[in-house]
Amino acid sequence: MTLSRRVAAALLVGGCYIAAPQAFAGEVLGLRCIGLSDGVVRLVVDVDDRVQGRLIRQAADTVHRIRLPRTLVPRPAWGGECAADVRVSIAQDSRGGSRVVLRSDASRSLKIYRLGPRGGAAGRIVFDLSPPRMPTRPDLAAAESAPPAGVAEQARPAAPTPEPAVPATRSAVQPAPSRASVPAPTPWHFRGYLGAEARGFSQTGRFPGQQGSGLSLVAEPEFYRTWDDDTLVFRPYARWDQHDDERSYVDVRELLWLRAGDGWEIAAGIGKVFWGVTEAYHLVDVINQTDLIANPDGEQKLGQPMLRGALERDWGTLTLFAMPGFRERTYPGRSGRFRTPLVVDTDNAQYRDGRSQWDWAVRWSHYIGDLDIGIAHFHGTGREPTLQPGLDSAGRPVLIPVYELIDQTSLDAQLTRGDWLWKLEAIRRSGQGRTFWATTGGFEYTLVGIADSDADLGVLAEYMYDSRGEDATTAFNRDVFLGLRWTANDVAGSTVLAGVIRDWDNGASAFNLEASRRFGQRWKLQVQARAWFDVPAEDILAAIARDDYVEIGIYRYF
Amino acid sequence: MRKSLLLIPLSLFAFTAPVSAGPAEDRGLEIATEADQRDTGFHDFTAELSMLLKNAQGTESLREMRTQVLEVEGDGDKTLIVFDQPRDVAGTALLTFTHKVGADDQWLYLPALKRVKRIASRNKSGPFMGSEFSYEDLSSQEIEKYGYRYLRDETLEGQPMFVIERDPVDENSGYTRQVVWLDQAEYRPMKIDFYDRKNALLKTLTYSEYKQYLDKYWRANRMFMINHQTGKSTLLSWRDYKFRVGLDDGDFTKNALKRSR
Repeated sequence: MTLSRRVAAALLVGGCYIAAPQAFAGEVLGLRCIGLSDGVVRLVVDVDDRVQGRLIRQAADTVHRIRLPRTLVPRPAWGGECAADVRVSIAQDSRGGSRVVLRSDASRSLKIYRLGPRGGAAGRIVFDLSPPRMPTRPDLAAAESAPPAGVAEQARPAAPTPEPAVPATRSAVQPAPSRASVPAPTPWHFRGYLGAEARGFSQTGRFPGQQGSGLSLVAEPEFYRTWDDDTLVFRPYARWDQHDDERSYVDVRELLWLRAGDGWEIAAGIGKVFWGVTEAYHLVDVINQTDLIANPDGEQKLGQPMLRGALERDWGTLTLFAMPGFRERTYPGRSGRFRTPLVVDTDNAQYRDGRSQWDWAVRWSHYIGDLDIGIAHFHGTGREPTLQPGLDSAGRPVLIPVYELIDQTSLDAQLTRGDWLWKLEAIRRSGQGRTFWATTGGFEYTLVGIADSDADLGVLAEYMYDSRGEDATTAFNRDVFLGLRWTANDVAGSTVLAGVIRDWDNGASAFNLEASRRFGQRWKLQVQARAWFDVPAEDILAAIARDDYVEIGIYRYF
Repeated sequence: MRKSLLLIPLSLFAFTAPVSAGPAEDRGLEIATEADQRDTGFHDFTAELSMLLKNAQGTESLREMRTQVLEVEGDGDKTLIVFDQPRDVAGTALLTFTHKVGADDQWLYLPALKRVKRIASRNKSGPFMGSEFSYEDLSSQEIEKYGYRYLRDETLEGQPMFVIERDPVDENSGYTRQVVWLDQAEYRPMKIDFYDRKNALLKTLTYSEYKQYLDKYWRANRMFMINHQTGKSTLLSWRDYKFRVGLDDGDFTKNALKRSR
């Protein structure tokens, strides 16, 4: 955007631009009046500091007086016409602050908005005088009392005034999302889903006592609230499983406060972060712990406590993470499916290098033309444990998860060229045995409008490599993924993603299908199917080779 | 001699090709440029929109979205759209940097995974959210995206109109041509006929309930698209337009996309 603030101001139509008098002490950067098409007269005051403290106002039908805090003192007094029938003056008052007086010939009500930094100014106050009203309205002072505690006066500029609070039925349609568009003083918003999932296995498990087909219920509501530059989110997650106690649990996926300014962002709480570009295996995605019991696909993640700060500049986005509190990976219990021959004893996890108090990560990401790129480094307890044979407290043989202190440097990049997406992820990790590196990459090519329809067909191919070979802690040491993604682009939003991951060396194969469609406005049907073929006895997948399943989930969204 | 014979027609072609525009082309470009001029300088706006989709049997489906748009001098606009309905995609957001020439840059935010995906933007002809509007119908209309030809003056519902034809430059467009009715008083599009790649009439878009903002910018509150070949239709309704709310580039980044709710 090359349009400068001054040019933008000069372009204002239907109003006049009032240049800031030079004599201002520097606190007030600019004043301008805008006549909006719906009859609202708007005075915009740009200031060089964040607008803090209370704006105390006295309102009457035709005269509005607003006391500004000490920091916003124009010198000398200033006054002028803001519209044909509206005059404005700003002067120092006897108590060290200053006073804005808006007078109009006709009765108008006043709304004040306090905005964060924009353009060159650190803060902005917007005064909106409603269109002239019939002079029958009684005293306005009561109706325009002090703002809600802790929240600056906020409403939506240019909203036709007077307007009561946003009706409750509008909760689904909030004002535009960014910090620049000013949210109404809305209560908490709510969204999320309830789901019922039925899983059917084609065979009994390999180990005695493993569960058969069954039902699971899941809920993931989200509560959030935005005000000024801030957002607060709370997203709990609860699952109940008919058979597996380990799979009946509650987690906080997100409980995060976030503030965003001009080119920066800070957040604190429990959050979720995704890094990466590939589809079959998320190699560089290291911040959140994997929740293996919600779904064996590894896409489900536990909430991670974090402090996060980001800077957005011309040279890219730099994000720093400080993470107190490590979360251990979840594993299915003795009766659960998708388990290792020996159960992973999650109650007796060990930390080879002691338990680190804080984990750290830094990431730079940017896009240059067709290329999106991210480079990151993580230092802390590795999310992926080494599983070692041991005994549990009852003396039974189990696998003990051993967590190590690792350093991991990663690269992820995607090149978007026409209908082709080229993807690459790579890591170098030290601290977990010998230093090793791993990579995954490939392409997604989309055939648009196949067979003269609206549907798209994507062809995906990715290769996975791990320099540890057969000693790798993952199943993906030398594997190839081939997949198809069908997107109907219909009213129901129907999609199907199907693929096969095949071990290049021993031929072990995993088939995966995910399909979904919507019914009406609030219901969704999702089908997952997974099956394993040609798995040699020594492969890491052998333990779950009899766990082929189909899962049908019905979800109701709120 | 033979050489020069060859050279003459070649050079003629070389000179005539770029300036082959006749008076109808000039007049068409002139009208399109005037219409573009009249909509320049709005700087930014936010709005809420809903789409009512109806199939030939009359079954309805609703989409609700919020959008914010930043005008970019010398290039296409930047747009951020956040979905509210249907509920399973609530919170999904789409960031688009449109370009006057070449493919747009587009990122999709998937809130469940907290993942931002750069997506291929060449699929302009595909339906937007299952509606009768395609991505190219909704993206910012830049002069450079079409070739123009003035057809005639005509009266539409009692108002004098310019009728122009515009041919998409992009080979990935779903259309061979569009016929546009602009009112002579304000240069606002009132109706567009879309012709598919086989040059058969595909869709008609009708604009209504125009409202003027900042005493200059006209926006239609209703845009009705009917597909003549399938009988499906989409009514796109806009509300709560707010111009110049103070958006800047920082509100249209991948991080801003992740923050959108």
